Amino acid sequence: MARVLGTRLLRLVATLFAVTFLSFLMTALLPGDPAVAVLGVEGVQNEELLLEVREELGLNDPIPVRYVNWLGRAVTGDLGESYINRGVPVAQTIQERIPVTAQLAVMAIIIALVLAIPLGVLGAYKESRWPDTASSAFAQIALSVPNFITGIFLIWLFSVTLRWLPASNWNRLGNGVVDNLKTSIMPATALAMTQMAIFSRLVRSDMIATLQENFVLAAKAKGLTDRFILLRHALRPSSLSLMTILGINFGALLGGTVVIETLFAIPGLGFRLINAISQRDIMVIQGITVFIAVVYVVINTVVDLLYAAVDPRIRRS
Amino acid sequence: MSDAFPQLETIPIPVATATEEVSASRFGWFRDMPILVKLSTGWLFLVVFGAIYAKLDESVFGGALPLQDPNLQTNNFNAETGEFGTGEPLEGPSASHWLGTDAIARDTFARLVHGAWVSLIVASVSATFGVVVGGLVGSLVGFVRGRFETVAMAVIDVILAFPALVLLLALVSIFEVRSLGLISFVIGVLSIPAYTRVARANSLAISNREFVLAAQAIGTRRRQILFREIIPNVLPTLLAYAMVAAAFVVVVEGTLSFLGLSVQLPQSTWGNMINQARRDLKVDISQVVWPSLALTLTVLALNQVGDYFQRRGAVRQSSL
Amino acid sequence: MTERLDGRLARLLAALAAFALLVAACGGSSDDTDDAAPEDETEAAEAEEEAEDDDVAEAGEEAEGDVDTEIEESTGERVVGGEIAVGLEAELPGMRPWEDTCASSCYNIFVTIYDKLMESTETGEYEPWLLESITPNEDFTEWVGTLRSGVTFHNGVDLTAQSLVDMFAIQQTGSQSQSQIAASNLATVEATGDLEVTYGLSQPNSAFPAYLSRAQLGMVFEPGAAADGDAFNAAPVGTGPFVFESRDLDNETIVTKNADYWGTDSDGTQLPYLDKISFRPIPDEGTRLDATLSGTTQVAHTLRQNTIRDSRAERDGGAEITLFEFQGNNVGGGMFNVLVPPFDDIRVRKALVQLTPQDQVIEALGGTGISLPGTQWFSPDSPWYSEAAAAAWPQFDFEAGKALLEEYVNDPERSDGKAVGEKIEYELSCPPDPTLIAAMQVGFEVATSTELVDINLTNYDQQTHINYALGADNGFVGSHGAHCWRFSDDNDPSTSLNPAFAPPTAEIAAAAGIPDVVSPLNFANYFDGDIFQAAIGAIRTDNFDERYALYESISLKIAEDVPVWWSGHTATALITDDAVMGLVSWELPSGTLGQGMPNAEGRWHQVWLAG
Repeated sequence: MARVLGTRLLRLVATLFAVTFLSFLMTALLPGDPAVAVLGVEGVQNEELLLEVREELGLNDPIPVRYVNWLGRAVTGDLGESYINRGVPVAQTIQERIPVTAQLAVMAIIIALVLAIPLGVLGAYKESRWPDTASSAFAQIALSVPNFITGIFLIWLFSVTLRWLPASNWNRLGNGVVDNLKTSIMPATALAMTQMAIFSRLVRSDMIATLQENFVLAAKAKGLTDRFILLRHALRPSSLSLMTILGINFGALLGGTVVIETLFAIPGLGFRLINAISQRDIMVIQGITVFIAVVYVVINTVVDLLYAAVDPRIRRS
Repeated sequence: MSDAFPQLETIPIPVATATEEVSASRFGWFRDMPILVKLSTGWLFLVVFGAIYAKLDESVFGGALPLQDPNLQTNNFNAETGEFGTGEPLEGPSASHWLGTDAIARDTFARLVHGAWVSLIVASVSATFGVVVGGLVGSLVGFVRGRFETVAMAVIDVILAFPALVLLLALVSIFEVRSLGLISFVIGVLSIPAYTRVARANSLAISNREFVLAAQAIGTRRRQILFREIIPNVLPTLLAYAMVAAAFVVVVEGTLSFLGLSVQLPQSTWGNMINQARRDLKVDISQVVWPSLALTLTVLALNQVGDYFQRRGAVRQSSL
Repeated sequence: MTERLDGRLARLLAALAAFALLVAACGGSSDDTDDAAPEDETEAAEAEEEAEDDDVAEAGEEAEGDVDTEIEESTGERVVGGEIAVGLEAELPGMRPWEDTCASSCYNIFVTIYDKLMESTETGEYEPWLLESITPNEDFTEWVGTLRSGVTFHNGVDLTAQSLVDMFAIQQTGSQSQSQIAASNLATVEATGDLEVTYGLSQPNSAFPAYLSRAQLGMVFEPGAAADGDAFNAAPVGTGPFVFESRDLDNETIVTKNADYWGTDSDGTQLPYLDKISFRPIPDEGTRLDATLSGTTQVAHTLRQNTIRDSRAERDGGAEITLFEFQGNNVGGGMFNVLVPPFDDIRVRKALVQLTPQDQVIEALGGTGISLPGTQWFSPDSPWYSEAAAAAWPQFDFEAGKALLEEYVNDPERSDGKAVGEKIEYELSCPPDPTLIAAMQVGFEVATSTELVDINLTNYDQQTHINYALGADNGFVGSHGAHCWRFSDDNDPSTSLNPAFAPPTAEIAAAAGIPDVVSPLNFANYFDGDIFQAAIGAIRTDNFDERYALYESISLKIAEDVPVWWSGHTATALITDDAVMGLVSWELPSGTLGQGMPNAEGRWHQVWLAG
């Protein structure tokens, strides 16, 4: 196990290097001159000033040099400053936006689990009978509706037609939980539907397998009630793989809130990223991309390790 | 969807096991299909036929079916008649426009059918890239293991470490003119890692099976094992996976289109139809509904059929 | 006066359009107020103008055709207190008037924190606001202003003439103010008394007071606090009716009542009425309107015709909202890069304009009955509007356009170097906005139906769009062909026209005998010596008729050479809950009725919530 851990950690470091370099490269290749973005159109009439700013930003150095310089600062937590909102450190921007995106992701997962576990358990318990068919069908449909479509129709229903919820914006948790919920419930639900489908299918198939295990049969023989068996015995083993998938999904959700945040105008990481891309705010693009990628890589590694620990068959020395 | 590629990862990787019971299939594959799968297959055939018909209407079919010009603005100046058309933007369904018209008075049904072409191409290209490249690499590393596997999987990890939409946005915005070929290529390349993982997982499992171990024990050459034993057994699962992956790719293209970053206008895609109709949501929601429905049904059908073949694949393997 | 222009002057002028054009490309609107009126009328008008005293104040105008922009507002009992939330089109880049680009959205926030030296009136003239008076010398090279007394900044510092001098030092370093200083010919600012300030100009500028009503030179900030720009950005200090409280980027900017504000209404009630305003950037048009319809916000800001269309439908369907619409000079359309074949040939440009069905384009924009068709730099409501130029603008004519294209395509000398009979090929690019995407396809459809052109439709994000038009890397030629763009604003015409038609490249400037004058902001790269001289001439006089004649000659020449094309004038609106009052009926300190909400830029100091 120690060796596995060692290789994985080594690989993690290598991956982090590659990820940071690639995102650096990609943002460096974006069309458009960051110096123009910094100066605004007015500033550009002065060609000397333009050159000066390019020099100041280090845009004249070769890309590897720029990467090393940037990485050196990045490891100390200095991700540079935004070109557009000058004076605002990228790290601060990220820090301010994590709570919003994280809340969305967590809420989405909670909503997904709250719906998925009963559906999955029901499906497994009534395997191949109509409740199973119905819940599977529901999951299938939920899996198939892209979340921006879910979002549009939620807005149409609850904001435009019923006028129950605000169509956009974000009340930070600090402004009160109810106000916050009013703005967060729709985007979180739009995000949750696909996750819900994935979770419920997983719970169902895991449960079906578990229900055939000896210890469940033994429990049945002891005369325990179905509900007790389902919740106390059968669900527990299922939750391990659920945890694994949940881990991966959290990373995916962090990066995947981009469209939903844009649609609902939510001040999270994804929305900031989209704005930064259209403003050519390179430092922000780099900072957020790298941040999300690093989070994702770390979570993936942890999940991989779990996977190896749980399933010794995969671990062939 | 933004998180579509990560989701490829979050789907339990289909590894061929023999847990699910599906009735034996020696009575012909279609008759055994559940009704939903039959319907799904039907819808997919319809979409594929529509897409191909739309593309080749003039040149091959000579306008055999009454499909209108998807780009004809029925209220605009018409060079043939020398007059302005009498159509209206955002019309409701009628005999002349089955699904009504869009914001610039174009026939929505025609645009919907033509939009299918983009989804079809993107999905096919990505599946081809995935199965051929991802399948080969994945089968190989899953069987060979060792340092080669470590390196290959590290590369895969790097690509998968990016939030897919960010990677797509960045890649797509580097190119100034976005053709269908380019979009398909970028999405295709990005699909490879997910297929590689699936192929590897299956390859790993198969490598541990008795018949492979036996072949190794009697000294069969590794290349022979790979091509005779591993790949043929990985392929069915991979093809079934391709259906499910295609569903996600269709959503990814839809998202790019929705954000205005897919193929060039005036080519219609389901995503750009939704985006454009969204502006007039309050006036006429139906123009959002039609493309949304087409997109959702197609994704649903791909998932259904993909799942079905995955289950069938599982059975076939169990009988090996 | 010598007609050969001082190079520096012209370059400075060139800088000016920056803002308007930049914002134009972004689909935004300009940063300032209304039509500039000739200066000599300003003071006379001051005395004559009287606030409307009946129960209904009217603003906006009954425009031509079925375009209806009339607004009625009850002016009942003012209510003190309360708070509102305002949904804006975009987040503002920063809080520093001298440094940060300020478009329509930003202006709504800035006017709450900063007072301006001058303000525009209902009739589009300029009157003192934080100043009490301003007078020019004979040749418009020196302007003497006197500040209102007893005004303090939010941090307690007194406002004096020296504050303006210190401000000027900071403005000279700011990227936004710099170009305005240059464009206005402002050279020196001196304190010639405790409250008396003297502006020295390097060249005559009869339109100088217009600049003191704009954010970059007109908004007064506390120079002591502004010394540290970044700190100031986090906690801006002005003299305005509201005090900056907090800003959560992309989410909310909050301002609260300035209890010590110098201003009172005509009854002597302390301004502002409201306790607090929360400004929220909501980029999505539909969402922003929904937020107001559902009561999440009380005001929605929009520069889009289709949003106005939707709001009107909601209002007519019983929603309790009021539309404060304003239709200004700002006009949509696009430009040809006349340095790039085939657009160097006037036949192609004219043909493509003749092949654009303007009414259908406006319909695609959602602007039928909302947006007036554009024919020139000025809207029909502008005092500078020319009937002659409107008549001269090429109308839709398919056969004529096709014939011109045929002539070009079959010309052995055709400028794009293609073989005779081969199709013309070019790129038409617009920012990726659903509305513009719909509109661009309308013109595309007709032009391609001639079977003489191949058009590549592209949508770049705004920054790329602007960069391509700018062409900083190829001597400002730009890499665009035909480009969606917006033109003009409601300021003095000189502020936007002059830079847009100054020599675009060094070669052209040299050829015209004015080697130092290069304007990167001439995006269409179109240069005409007569237009250039007329534009310069127009700021050397304050005689309206003389200026009008010069601007009319420019409009006529543009209609002849068609370096640009027009769709509709930009309709803007503040869509409010019925309870929101005072956006139209606000007054200047003199009691003159103010200009309302040009370009959806509200003045919030006299806004109150009814019952």
